[in-house]
Amino acid sequence: MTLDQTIEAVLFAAAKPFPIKRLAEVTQTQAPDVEAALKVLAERLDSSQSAIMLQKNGHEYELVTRPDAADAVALVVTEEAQGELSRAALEALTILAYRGPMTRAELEQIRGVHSSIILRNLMLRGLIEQKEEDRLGQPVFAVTFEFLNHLGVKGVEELPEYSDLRGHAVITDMLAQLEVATTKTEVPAAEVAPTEKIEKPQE
Amino acid sequence: MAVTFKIEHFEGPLDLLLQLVEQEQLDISQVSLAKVADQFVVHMQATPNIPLEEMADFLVVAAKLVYMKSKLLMPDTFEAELDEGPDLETQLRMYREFVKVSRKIDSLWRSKLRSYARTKRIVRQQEVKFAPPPEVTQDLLRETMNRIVLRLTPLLKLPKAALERVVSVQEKIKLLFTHVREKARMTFASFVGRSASKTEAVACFLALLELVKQRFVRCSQSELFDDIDIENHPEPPASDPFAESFI
Repeated sequence: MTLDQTIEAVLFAAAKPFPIKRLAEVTQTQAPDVEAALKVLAERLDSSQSAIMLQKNGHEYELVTRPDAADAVALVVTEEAQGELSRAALEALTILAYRGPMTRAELEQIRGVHSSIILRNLMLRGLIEQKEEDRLGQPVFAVTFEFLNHLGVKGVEELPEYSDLRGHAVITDMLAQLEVATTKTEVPAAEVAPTEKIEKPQE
Repeated sequence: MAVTFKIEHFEGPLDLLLQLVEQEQLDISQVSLAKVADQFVVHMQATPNIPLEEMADFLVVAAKLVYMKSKLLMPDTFEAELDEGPDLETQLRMYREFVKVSRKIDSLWRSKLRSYARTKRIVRQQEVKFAPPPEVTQDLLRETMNRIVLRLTPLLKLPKAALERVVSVQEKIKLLFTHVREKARMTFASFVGRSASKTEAVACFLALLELVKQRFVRCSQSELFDDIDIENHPEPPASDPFAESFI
């Protein structure tokens, strides 16, 4: 049995997203081998007209049904109704899908407005998640498999104009500027005394 | 400058700004942004339910707009070092890209075509108890707590500055308007007075400019750097001099 076949079996049986690292452990191979095998598996599923496709989100993979089969599948599975997306939700999701994983500060840099409430709501709806990695001591957020499933795509790479927006030089520049501004003014925790007085305006 | 557009609903300052620019059918540029600066402030003031934490973001954009406007009026007096950080024009362009593509995401979202993942059936009801994963140790908990505390450190340390009491231009407009109406004419020097600080003098001058612009007063100056004579305009407009200015 080839590695891509083993991985296919594992993903089918696991019935949940699996990170590359875990797949390497299970199959007793190295991460690069797993990545190559995942590519083979994805192409095999696509070319054999299977109704199953390989979905990718960050470093994780999952087997899902193709969107064209949605009508029939919807009759046999229970799903939570997601309802419509508000404009703010849509905006934040779009930015996270194209540029994520990213910190709240980075998201706010693009949206130009305070976004902690919208992030919390999207997390409650299971459309985004807080990842384990940090950037500059801040947690990063990314879209979930639930979100990708709802759109019926194999990964964020399939979203319209993905490569344009992902690699947009202006956005990269702006986020880099934010990073510079952050590291320049970053202070060790000890320097922030909780008793600091707020200076009153002079009358 | 009357506000002729009605913006129904907006999400954040960039959304409002984008709607204003698009309603005017303008391209995004320094000039077009400066052009909608007043409308931006008017809309901002007319929206009572902006949450406080968002209000700060609105004020940042409003300040940038006013800055751009003044820069266009007096290009020589600005120093490059004041233009730190990403400029509003770039930010708005970028924002527009995401808004455009978010509409496509919305139609994907609304479409019934979606994928399904397999879900595991719950085999048996588990006993409810505190069951941390086996790898959780005291050290790990302490480390996690430390990380959480560290995260609470503000990302950007705001520079501290003591606020000086600033005389508003609005106040000066009122003062100048009543003075001139009572005395029919006066000089700029007498209006500013001797004790005025630099900021106060600037506020006085801005007030004068605003009233001249709105044709409530007329002024003349015999030569450069000479005192300015201010008098009532012979045909003042019927409107309220305090209504339109937002400064």
